[in-house]
Amino acid sequence: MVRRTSVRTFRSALSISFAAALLCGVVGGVAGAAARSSAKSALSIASVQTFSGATSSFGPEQNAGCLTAEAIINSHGGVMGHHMRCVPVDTRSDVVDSVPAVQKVISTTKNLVGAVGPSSTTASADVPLLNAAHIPMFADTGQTEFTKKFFKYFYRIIAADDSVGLAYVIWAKEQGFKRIGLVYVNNSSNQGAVPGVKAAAKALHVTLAVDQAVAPDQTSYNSEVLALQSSRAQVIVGTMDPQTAATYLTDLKNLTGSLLPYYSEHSAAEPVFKGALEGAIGTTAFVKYYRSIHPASVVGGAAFSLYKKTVLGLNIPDPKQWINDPYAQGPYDAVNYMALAMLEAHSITPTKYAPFIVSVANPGNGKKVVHTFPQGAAAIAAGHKIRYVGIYQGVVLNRFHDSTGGFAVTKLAPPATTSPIGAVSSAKVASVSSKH
Amino acid sequence: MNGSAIVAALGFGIVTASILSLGAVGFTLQYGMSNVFNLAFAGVMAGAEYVALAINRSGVNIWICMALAALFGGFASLVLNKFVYMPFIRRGVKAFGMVIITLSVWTVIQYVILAIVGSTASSFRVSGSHLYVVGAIRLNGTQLIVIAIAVVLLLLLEAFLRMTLWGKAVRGAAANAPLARTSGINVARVMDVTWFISGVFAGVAGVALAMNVVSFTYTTAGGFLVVLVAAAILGGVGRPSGAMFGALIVGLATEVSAAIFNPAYKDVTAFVLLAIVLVAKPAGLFPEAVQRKEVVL
Repeated sequence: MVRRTSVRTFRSALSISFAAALLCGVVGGVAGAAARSSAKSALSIASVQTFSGATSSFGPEQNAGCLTAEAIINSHGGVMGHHMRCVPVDTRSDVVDSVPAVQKVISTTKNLVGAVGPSSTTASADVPLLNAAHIPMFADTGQTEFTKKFFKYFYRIIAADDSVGLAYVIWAKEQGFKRIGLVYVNNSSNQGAVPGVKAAAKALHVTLAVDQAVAPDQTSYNSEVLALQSSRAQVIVGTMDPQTAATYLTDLKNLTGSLLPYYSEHSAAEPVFKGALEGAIGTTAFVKYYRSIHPASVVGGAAFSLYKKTVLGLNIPDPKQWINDPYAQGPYDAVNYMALAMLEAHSITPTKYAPFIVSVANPGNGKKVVHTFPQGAAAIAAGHKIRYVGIYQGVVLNRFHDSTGGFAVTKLAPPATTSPIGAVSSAKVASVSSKH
Repeated sequence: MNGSAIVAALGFGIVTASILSLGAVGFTLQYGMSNVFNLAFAGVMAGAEYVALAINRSGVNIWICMALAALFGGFASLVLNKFVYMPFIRRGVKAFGMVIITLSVWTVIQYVILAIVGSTASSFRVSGSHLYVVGAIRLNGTQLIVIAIAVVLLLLLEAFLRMTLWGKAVRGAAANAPLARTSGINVARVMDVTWFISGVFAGVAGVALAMNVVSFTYTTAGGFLVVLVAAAILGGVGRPSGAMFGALIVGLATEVSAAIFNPAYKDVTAFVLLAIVLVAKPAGLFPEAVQRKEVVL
């Protein structure tokens, strides 16, 4: 009996010891794992963009900028010990696909701390989702609905579409054109610049010879081209998707025997746009007639040099095509703004670091101006307040977290990059804007 | 809007109608024979575009490329019906289920093409084309050849259907397959021939479309499918001659409306027209005598 009791006591003691050891092990293991996770887990930046569908070139373009920033940040120790990683989220140019994709990345991605994108085709649906999830985003949309509607976590360093419209007309007038043909595709992605064009034409006393909304992806635009010709327009301004622009310009060339200068915000080196236009009208004509009017970015200096060197070292297809691409450079700056804001806030929590984005972007007394993430990280570590001035120039975020800097005018420099030929300053845009 | 612009638009409308009729006739042939509303028709068109492109890039004349793409279209269409659709039909999938299957096949084809060629736009190498001006009508040499090809192919098809034994067999099998079978017609063989011919039309339509839009991607044919189906339905789906007429109406209406009204709504014009016609004649302008219910095995 005693023996049995003592055996039972021994077994109980053994069981308790084993359970305690197991519990300690498990708890310790979990705690250790959590600690390791905390030390090593990567911070995710959702690259919300169209990776398939009609504008599928936008995804690799944006991601190139994100990956470049990721590479630089990670090679300099990351953000407070965390590495960054860009997570592609394919919106497929359609809200039907983008909403579940964005919801999925919000609910399943560990340490989602920010986003670049979305673009115009899905921004109206995606921005509120990201905003409600408290994810700071640098949107790739010029839609004017975000110019005066406040979203706490929405930031934009590319120009609003109405400003782009102003820039088209300002540049056209500076080139001596008096009659403008406004041609654009009738969808949300392509008609944002229309109010700006109309306002600027009125303010600058330039004649709007034709105001032509065209249906996308038609078999031909011959009737539209004849209307353009009869309007005696001297230059075409407005945004068309690559296929529509290619068909329209080819019809113009075939029917009239010549082309007109064409301004839009598509980068001349954007692969799909460039491919479509070069295939349609030829490289020589594309270089001669097409002008991209896009947010001004620098060529040269510390910001550009580090970006260029890093992007060329990325393991992605044909990285050199992104060197002068403003829509790859913008996301690069965006990730740097977020990473530096985290450092200033001493927090990777979006709700805590987001207010510091404006501080990092805008000028202020005593701020040390930095041009790269390593410079910024070093300055913050030395106790300075910083202002990051990246590749995009003149970024100043207003109370809607929106910035309209100046514009660069570029043309294709064959085979796959661009060369600057002029600029439209933010002061000129503001001046014309104030007249309407 | 002056009269000359409308006359010019009529000329452009004939070009659009030519391309549209090639596609609509091919589409309606398939439906007329099998009762399969084949949305993957656009996949065959897109495949033919890229076959032609691959050959064209090796320096072959575009019109030879079009002929080879037409053959590709024929075989692709035949294979699609025989090895993809028929197994489903044999298992008892009904007409509506087949629409979903064809949609799925189209999606798969689209993404296979995307994986192979990427999303970058492509263009054919076409030698310079002279502009011909007759009054207000202005058409270039390429457009005139496309019109000629459409007219010749459509006439050949009508002659085939009306003047040959095979044509009679096609019409017989399309009207009543079981009866045709008991009359000694090899319906399976007739179906193969029909799907091959319809694929040839898809191939030619795809290349003609790609030439006309100049710069095309893997989505170009898909975007065209909606108008193409509208033309086929307008004419009375299942009737090749009806599809030709439907294409002519849609082509002219879209171009003339672009010249008169806001060109942004030229597609809308086609669909408003379709709605009006279908209210008056629910089976299209040239309805079939046979009431179709299910897919044909």
